[in-house]
Amino acid sequence: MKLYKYFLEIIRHNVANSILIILLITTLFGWLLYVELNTDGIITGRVVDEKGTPIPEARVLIREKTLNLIKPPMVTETNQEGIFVFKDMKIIEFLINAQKEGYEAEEDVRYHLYFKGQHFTLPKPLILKKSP
Amino acid sequence: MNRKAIFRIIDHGILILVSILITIPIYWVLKTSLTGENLFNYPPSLIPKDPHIYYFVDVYYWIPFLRFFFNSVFVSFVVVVANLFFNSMAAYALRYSFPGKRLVILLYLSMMMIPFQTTIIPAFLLTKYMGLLNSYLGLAFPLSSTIINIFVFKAAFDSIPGSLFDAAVMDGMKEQTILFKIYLPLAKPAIATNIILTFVWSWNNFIWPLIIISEKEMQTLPLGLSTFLSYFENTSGQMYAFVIMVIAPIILVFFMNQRRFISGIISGAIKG
Repeated sequence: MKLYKYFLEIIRHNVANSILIILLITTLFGWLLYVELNTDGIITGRVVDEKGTPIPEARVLIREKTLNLIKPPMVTETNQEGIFVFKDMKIIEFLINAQKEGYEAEEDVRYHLYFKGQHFTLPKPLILKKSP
Repeated sequence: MNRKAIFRIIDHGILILVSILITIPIYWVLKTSLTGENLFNYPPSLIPKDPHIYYFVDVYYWIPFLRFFFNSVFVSFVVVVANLFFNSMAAYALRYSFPGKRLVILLYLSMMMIPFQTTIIPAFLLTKYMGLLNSYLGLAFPLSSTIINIFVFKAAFDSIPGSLFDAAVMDGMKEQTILFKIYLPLAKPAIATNIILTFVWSWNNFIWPLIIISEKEMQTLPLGLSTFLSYFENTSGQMYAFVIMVIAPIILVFFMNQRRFISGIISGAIKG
């Protein structure tokens, strides 16, 4: 009880500092909670053609990019809706592209995450153009 | 407009200009940490384009930042506590008149003029013989008591009326009780000054950890910065993000104690 009163007294005399510390701690714990709830390591997205039609059975290659090297690719395939899913991806930055016979090779698209294992859905689908 | 007002405008104009000059490099570091834009980009732009926090994320994952951060915090904490304890006791002792007091003060002042670099080898050997290499205590050891902070405490204690001390003695208080229960609570600006100065010195200390630390997990943040520089080339964004992560706690500590710090420095200046 005495300790509780002591802390209240400190807060009363240092309102600005106390607010700052409480804000910092709240932000930190909020961020840690968010990280904890979103660390399934799933990276997902869609592969479509120029008209927006999903492309099934396209190979999707994802390569982890570190500050000094690019690691070998991990590969998966899209389902009938053109959706692909990578699981247990503990990476921060990566290059991704899709390939399929009869379609042109596209350049890598680069994404950066906020923490390792972040659940991430590609904001734009990977677009493949038909070969002439 | 009278002459006084004109001088006031000129004064404030100069102050604003100097403030801007001081703030620009800090702003530049912050901007680069958020955009990765190289310092030598032409034309230079003041407003950051597409700011993001990815460089901070890179730093967090590419060096053991939390470990280095913990080391820096722990060493700084030990240094601050040791300084408050030893410096306040030294300053309290200087309150008394004793034979050779002037000599002691002269000795303190003369030792302030010896740069740390000249005493590094003996300090290293002493630390080695005590078996404190690669340890927190070894890191904190040379900064455990600083002379300038003894004088900050002395100035604060000198401003406390002697009658208070006499009353405490008459009440039968022991020396340590007088120091910790009467003098220190009345010297809050001096305590804040001690905390800030020693925290900053310990936090920024580079040469001493570089000499006595050889194990990676015992490194402090400034050492982490140096290894970071040697790892990567042309990674301005990550480098500046790391700089921001290193200086942010110091700025926070300063702002939290700013008022007391300034009054402590001023009291030291007029009483010193």
